[in-house]
Amino acid sequence: MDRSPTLEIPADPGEIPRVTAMLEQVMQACGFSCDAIQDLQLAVEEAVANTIVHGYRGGAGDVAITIHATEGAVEVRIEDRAPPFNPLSLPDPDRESGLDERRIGGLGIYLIRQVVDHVTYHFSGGKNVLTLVKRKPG
Amino acid sequence: MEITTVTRGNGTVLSLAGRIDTVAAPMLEQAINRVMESGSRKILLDFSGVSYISSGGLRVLLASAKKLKNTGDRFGLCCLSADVLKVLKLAGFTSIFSIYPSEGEALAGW
Repeated sequence: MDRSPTLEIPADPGEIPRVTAMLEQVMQACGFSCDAIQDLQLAVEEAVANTIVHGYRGGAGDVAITIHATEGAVEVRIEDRAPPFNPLSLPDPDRESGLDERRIGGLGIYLIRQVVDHVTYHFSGGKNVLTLVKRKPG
Repeated sequence: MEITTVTRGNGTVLSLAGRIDTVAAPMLEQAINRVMESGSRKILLDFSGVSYISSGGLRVLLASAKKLKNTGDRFGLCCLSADVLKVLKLAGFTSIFSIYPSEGEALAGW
């Protein structure tokens, strides 16, 4: 199996399950646990959904997802041509206040940070590039 | 995701099966809104068949809880898998939701 597949999808949330399914296939082939697969599926879904909703603002565009898996770690690179925006610059959401004060939204990037081992952002060649790394425990 | 809606005692139970992701979340929101429009203000979500939830699903849970907070209203979650509970904990949701081990224990107090 090709262990560094790239999937290019239009900016449509309906395409996300295709991405998470491919991720599961690649990670299973490399012996990652169900927990690790779910963690990275969550992070990738949040990142791609963010790009579609906030980056392209529901308009047309493309998102390229490249998965590079080895025996010890999997790296997912998510690239888009939406206006430059570093999602890692967002403050952490409120996770303490009561129901009335709790604001809806803003959890996606926070969840990404919690479930992956490493996340980086850079803008180059006209593209936002977000890279997520999940390592195999031990 | 599949949603089965059943009236039990004073409440309405929505049994969920599948993944509550960005695509499925609007379906869940519509199902909850339909129950509220029918006049039921005590809603329990049974997560027995759910192993995955993303922020799209969390958004629906929070929006629904905000709508069902009047006296006499109930909004609860039951039968959460470890994976779903983990995401709710990360989001800081366990302190603002009524979470029950089983349907029976949730409905007993309603």
